[in-house]
Amino acid sequence: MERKRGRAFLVVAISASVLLVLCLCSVGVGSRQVNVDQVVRALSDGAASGIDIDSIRLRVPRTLLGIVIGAALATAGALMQAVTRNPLADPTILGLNSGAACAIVVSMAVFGLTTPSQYVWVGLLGGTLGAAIVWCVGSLGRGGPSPLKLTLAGAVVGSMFSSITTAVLLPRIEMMSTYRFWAVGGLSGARFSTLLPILPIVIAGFVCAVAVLPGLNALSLGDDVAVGLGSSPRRTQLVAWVGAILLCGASTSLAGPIGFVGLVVPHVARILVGADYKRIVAMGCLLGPILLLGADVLGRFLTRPADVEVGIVTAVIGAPVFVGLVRMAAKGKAE
Amino acid sequence: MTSTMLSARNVTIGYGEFPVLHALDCDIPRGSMGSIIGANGCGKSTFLKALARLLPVHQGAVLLEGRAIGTLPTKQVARTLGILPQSPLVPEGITVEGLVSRGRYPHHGMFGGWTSQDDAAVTEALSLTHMSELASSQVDELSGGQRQRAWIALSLAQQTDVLLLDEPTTYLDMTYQLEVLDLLADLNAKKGTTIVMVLHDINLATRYSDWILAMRDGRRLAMGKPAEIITESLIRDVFGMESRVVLDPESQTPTVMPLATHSLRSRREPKGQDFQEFGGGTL
Repeated sequence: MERKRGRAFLVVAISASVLLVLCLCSVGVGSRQVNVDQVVRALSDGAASGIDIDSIRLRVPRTLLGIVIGAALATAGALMQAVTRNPLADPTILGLNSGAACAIVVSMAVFGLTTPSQYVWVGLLGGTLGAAIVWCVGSLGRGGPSPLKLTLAGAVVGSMFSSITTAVLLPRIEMMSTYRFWAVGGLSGARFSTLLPILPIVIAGFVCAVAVLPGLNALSLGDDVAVGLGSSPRRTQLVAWVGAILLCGASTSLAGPIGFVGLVVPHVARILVGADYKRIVAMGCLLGPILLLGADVLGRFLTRPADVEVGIVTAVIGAPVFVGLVRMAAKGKAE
Repeated sequence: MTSTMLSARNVTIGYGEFPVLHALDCDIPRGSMGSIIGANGCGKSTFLKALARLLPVHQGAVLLEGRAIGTLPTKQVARTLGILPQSPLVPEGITVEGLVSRGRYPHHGMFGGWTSQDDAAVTEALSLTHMSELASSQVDELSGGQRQRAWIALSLAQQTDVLLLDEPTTYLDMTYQLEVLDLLADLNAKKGTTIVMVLHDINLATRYSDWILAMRDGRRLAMGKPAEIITESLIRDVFGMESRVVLDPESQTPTVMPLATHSLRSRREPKGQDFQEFGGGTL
């Protein structure tokens, strides 16, 4: 037991250091090459200026956004997987991404929205609406929301929204090209001015998540055990769902639909720190940003001076890492 | 000592002519260990769930120490009454210790941290169930008996005065069945925990119970000490089966011997001349 705690501590310490290094890389690496003391100067000396310094400062919100969204998506993924008891659940199952996409496309077509700062609120609204519909449909019938019903409702509502999105986009070629940049998902649009108003939503989402973690631990033993332990499965599910909506909605509105992080990070965290959701989420808040910033830095580094959006890179580098970890865990189990 | 820990008053679940539970009354004495028996589908698991407030009752009430269980805060109930349902879920990657520590849930506030009291409760639960050695093993790698002990340890860590168990011996070999029941009997004797089980095996029920509640079609047929209520006619009423009830020489409790059925008898018919080889018998 002591050895286990020691191991968990080591895992956290290593992850935190990796994240720190990635933050520095994220601020330092980009299409414009800078050196280390310029980075230090840009961050410590408010009066310093110059093109290099300015471009470094532009990368600060991008880095922060990566941290916030990485943590938010990882947490939301863990909440989703717990509520639906489905290891493959991710924000897509919420109906959130498809709802946000649909709302953005419809508002582009109807109201002529064109700027990312407008997408933020429309996306948030659409995403929330999508997730609320999934919850309502999944709660129909006897016994309220069950994991299976929620998953099915998510799939059905998701494809409904996707159809609408496609139907609106197809005849509008010029809109398609604007939309596809949003649809890829990325951090390049990060500005403090868009990040700040969304921050309270993210914080509210994390509060929901933290409050509901003990309940999720109880819920994971089955509804009967959870009630026996004095937990309320229905309330746990609802609060977790709301938390996931807030976290994903905020992320999607800021950076577009970024897949894979929410799906994979909770699993990696579980392999590293065990089945306790408190630990999974805490670990996820380190691993999510690591994956996202790592992908973002790599995208900038590999194709310099161009910029590959993080939505593309996460899966490309994340998938092999995930497969490797699962194989390692399976091996460790067999021995 | 004979005060009532848990009682059901006119408990009815379901509607119409054939409700799942029909006007059930029973008083479970504090510090006793008892079993609910009955044929498949007689409502015994449903009744256990109703006692543990896992199912809402449509009429009547369940009283925990005299107070209606539905009106008490559920977390407060969970500090007095624990239930181990029939097939709980095992979370992926959970260790025995991790599982057992979840029994401490009702003792925590919303943001309450882990205390040394929690540690002590988990350690005690592990040692009572002889699971200390396996504390850091993965639950899904345990044998059936070990896994059942891990779940019981979770219930023990909850530190309740009442423990309800739905068929705690199902899927276990004979040895493990006895091990689990011995463990519960120990707990009952040493800590005075009131234990209520749904048991399939009537002979184990008579061995380990202070009282037995026999049910059929959602109704109470009889309740009392095994030696007083277990008769051939009760077994006929409960299971629709002819039997002989004899005294178990080992435990001095009633034991039910089903009568040989027609097919059993025909298998024992002499096929050839060596009838004697089968011991003859009084066919």
